[in-house]
Amino acid sequence: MTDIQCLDEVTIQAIIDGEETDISLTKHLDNCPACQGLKKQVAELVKTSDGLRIDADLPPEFYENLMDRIEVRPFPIALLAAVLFGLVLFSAYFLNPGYITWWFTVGITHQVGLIFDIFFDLLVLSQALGPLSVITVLTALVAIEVLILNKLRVMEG
Amino acid sequence: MQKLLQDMVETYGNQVYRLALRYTGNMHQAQDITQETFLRAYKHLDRFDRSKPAGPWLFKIAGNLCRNWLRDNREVPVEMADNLAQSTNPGPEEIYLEKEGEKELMQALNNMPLIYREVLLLRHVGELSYTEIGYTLSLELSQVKNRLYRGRIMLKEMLRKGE
Repeated sequence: MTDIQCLDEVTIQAIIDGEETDISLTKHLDNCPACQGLKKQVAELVKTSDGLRIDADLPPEFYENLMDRIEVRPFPIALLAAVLFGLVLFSAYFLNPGYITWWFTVGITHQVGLIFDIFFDLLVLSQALGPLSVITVLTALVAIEVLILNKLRVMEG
Repeated sequence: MQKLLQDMVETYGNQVYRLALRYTGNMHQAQDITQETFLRAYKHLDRFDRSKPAGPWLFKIAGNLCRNWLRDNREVPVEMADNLAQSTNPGPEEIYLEKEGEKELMQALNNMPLIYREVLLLRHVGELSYTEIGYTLSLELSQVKNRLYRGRIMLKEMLRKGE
């Protein structure tokens, strides 16, 4: 027992926890009466803390529920957005058939590109903000379109 | 990706759940935190070093969520045994949690400073090694050892006072 100093509580704790593998320390602990007394006290502490263990398990449907939240189903969202977008153009044709013809014949193609850009931006946005936001925005667009075209029809007779 | 997640849930799901249960004292909250842990893990799988065990990484996420939960529910006392006692049809898990001394244990745990509580829980509930606890809490090995020892003393003292 003279070759090594007596161990402190933290080192004894590490030996009890199986975290200290220095043979000389464990050997000293096994043979030193003073350290044995300390070991008993530390072992009591470890035993008390072991009471924190719980045997509770997750419900069997946990993984299934998790996958339901993980699996993204972009198709219905994209489809719905596409339908709403189509509705915008369709409503334009019905409310003012000459409007779309004029639109294309005049050659304002960059506006078409802009609309498609916005459409795809909204799809990307929906991935980040959720489908509800893109549906709300597109529904608002449809409503605004219908309102404007209705006004135009009234004005043009 | 999903196979990796499934493996993680199978290996660490219950441990993460038990940890959350010890923090919140509420089964539904614990399940929510566990689910959120794996959702975040799935979202950030690219940040996970697959050459290492997933446990410490998952406990790091779960620990952050538990700390957030504690911060948001600071005024609500966590009394696991009381909450569960209100249940009309306790399941096997609830019966276990109503075991003798559970209420005292939860109260003692909740009265401990968080820095000691989290080390104790990672060791005894998460069953992590000292090195893994160090990684999870960004602590030096000596800090882990000291906090664990002081935490154990504190827990025993609090339980003794509660008797």
